[in-house]
Amino acid sequence: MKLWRTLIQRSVSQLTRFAAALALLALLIMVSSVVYPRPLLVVFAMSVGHVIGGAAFACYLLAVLVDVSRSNPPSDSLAPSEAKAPSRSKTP
Amino acid sequence: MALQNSAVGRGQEWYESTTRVTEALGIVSLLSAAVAATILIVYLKRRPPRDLRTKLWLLLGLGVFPAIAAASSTVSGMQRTTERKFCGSCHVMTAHYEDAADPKSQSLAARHSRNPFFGEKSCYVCHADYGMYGYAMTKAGGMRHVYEYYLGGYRQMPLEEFKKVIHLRKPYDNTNCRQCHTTTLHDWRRVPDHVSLKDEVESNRVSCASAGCHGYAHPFTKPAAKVSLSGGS
Repeated sequence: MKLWRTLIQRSVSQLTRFAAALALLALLIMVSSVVYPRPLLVVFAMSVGHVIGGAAFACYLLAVLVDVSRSNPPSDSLAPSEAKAPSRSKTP
Repeated sequence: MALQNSAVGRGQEWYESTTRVTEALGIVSLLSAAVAATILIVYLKRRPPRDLRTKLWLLLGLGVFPAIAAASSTVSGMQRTTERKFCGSCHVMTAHYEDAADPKSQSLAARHSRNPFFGEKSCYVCHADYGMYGYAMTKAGGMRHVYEYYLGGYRQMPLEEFKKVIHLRKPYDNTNCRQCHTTTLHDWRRVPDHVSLKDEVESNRVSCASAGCHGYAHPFTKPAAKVSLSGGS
């Protein structure tokens, strides 16, 4: 829960920019293995390149999740005064 | 003769078609990567508002196009690893590579490399394990080659020394020969040695590529005394 709150506090744009930079790095590795098919480069592209690409997509999905949860905050994250407002109105 | 020419033609067609597929996949990979990179660079430079349109563009730039690039580059890369020049790109394979490409060489490997069904993929065709998991097992074995080359000391080893130490980890499986030479046709059965050694050949107790039978595939890696015994039909 603490990790989730930390992520929520982080900027979604920052996370997306990080994902874009990671994806560019992964694409560069994959393209280089197509242009120069040397043993080490092909192995590197199929392992490290794919992991970096997967991490980039995971960061993007996380950014979308954080963005969605920000636009629909859960009830327990509301301010105490807002959360108690309905019960106060029922008080005779 | 006409039948032989037609088989050679089919072999060349097959090789050219697989080469075309590999090249096409490489182009697909490069194009997908270029489109994805363009989307991502434009996003990083312009920093557009975080609306639905931007998210969809990012889905294309971070998900769809990179996935296409990854899949096509993987298939293209795996195809490239089956080519002889890929095997020959490590210096320790120079002698094997040059012998296989030598039109005058009479080694078993060179004679098979001149067959268009093997052609530019002759290393892979002969050394790939036969069977359902052959491709995966061969690629896993190739990882060991990469490890041995970069971390096992082969990279620094002079070629002449390497020729003396190179060896197969396990005896060559005759099943690989029998993918083409099925041992069921009349031409095979009319050779008396084939008939008498059929059980030994099937159980790998006698190798087709051994001295006295068809000779070593790469005779330059064997001591001269052993090579003088080898056949060469």
